[in-house]
Amino acid sequence: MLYEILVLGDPSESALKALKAGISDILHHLSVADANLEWSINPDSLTPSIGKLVCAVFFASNNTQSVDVSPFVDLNVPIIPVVDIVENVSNQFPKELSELNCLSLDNDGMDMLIATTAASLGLMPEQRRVFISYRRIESTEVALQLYERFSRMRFNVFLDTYDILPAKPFQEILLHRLCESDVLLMLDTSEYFSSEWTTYEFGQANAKKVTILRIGWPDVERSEQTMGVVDNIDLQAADFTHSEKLIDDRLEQVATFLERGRNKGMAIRRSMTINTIKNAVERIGWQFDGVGANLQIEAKLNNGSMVALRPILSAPNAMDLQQADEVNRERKQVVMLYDNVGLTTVAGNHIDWLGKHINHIPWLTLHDLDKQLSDLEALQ
Amino acid sequence: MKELFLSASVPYGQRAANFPPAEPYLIQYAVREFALSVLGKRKIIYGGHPSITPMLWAICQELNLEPKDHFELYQSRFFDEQFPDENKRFDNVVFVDKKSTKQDSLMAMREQMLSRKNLTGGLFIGGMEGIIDEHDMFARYNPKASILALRSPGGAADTLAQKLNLQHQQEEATLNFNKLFYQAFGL
Repeated sequence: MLYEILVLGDPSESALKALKAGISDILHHLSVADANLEWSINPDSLTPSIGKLVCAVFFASNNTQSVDVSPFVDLNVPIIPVVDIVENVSNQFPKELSELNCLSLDNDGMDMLIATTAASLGLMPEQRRVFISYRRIESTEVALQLYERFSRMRFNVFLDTYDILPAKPFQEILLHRLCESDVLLMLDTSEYFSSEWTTYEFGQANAKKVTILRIGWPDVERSEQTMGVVDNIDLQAADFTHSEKLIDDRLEQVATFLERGRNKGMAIRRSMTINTIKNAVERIGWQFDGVGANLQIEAKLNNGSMVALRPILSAPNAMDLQQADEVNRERKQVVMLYDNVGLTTVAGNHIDWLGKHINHIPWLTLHDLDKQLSDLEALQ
Repeated sequence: MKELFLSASVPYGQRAANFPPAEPYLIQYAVREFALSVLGKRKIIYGGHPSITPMLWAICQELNLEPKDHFELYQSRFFDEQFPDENKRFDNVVFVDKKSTKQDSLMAMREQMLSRKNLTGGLFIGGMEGIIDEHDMFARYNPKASILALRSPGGAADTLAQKLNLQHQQEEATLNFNKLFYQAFGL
């Protein structure tokens, strides 16, 4: 099972039906089978499972103020609170959810709920980014074949044959696209690590914590440095056609392999990022108030004021900033968090520029977060 | 600066079956998380490993830390030909003379490494018998040091964690390595 949506509270039959239909539609467009998503209606608890992406939607009504959501808050499950009409925001939620951004179903709000839920599971096409790392002299046919297949799964696929125009600063663009990706799919042919470029791509993906999936070519002995990849598939000679492409069955297996591997890597990365932030918040004495849509973490400072901590898992940009600002109806202090290790110069300069010109929203790094948050509080 | 010993490796081959199944990518993630949690606060000491050294080097560069001040690796001359060329450009490698056998060479390296005076903690991740051997030697030389063995990445460290019933005993599936490191090593 790749995904799980917990439905909590008091959903109406029509709202639940609409949400299920909307998510199913998205899965269909991504060529992900419905069977990969589990719906759990008001479960008592959740058994953590490494590699499964989980989110919760809490439907509020007049009867839901005392619903116990603590098991899910304690497990850092992102929870999306939703009401029928926006006027009911203040009095229908359990106290654990009181600080999370809430959606309303009026004014065609169901479309927003579907999109927000899908985004919380990483199911929006713009979130699905894969970088194919390969030696042109050895595996171009398969690389092109995978490019086409993954594109039909609504992945944004980076392949240097297509995606870099001549005369552009190659390395910088390549690194930037790698930082934006959540999967590096390496086609491990016999000369993969003989090339400076592919070796560099592999090393950078490791530094940046991008999920690495390995496809081993026939008779290629796996090197020690690939032992830490998230998942591995070994091809045999019989998997290839006479024109050096993959046979259909194997191609479909690779497509499933990508979906599963990406999921696993993303779930782990997300969990560790939320833990890093939550640990820092609690170490400096702030109160952790749960994880909401878009992994936004709500926290209360020692002086009682609220802050919204928004982690960005890939290369941050202005769209992330805009989205964080637009949903901030209560005008809390929003803080953007990012992993600066392995970030490109281009991305770093962009963040500096954003911080300077939109200075009411600071950017902090995940590394040494305790001190940065304490310094932020001291400025208030 | 206080020092922490890191013993981590990915189990492989038939011997791996003697230990709980390992998740290699979790071993890698845990090592990275350890580096990010402690670099700048503690110096990392370890037996040079082909996949760890480049990662530590890269992280030090990203955090503007001078590598030689923040980690030190031990390498037995017995394995000179197996280590990446990158090691040759590091000036924070302690080369230990080889003995007549692989086993004796490893022993000599470990004795020199684990008898350092500033070691205040040891972290054990994944691995096979070597992890157990290094733990036993580490504990003998550093009886007052904190010890943490991770469970979720599997391998011999999982067995070790259960056997020792460590103070920072973890849920089997926990990925909250950051919290464990802070608790175990007083960061």
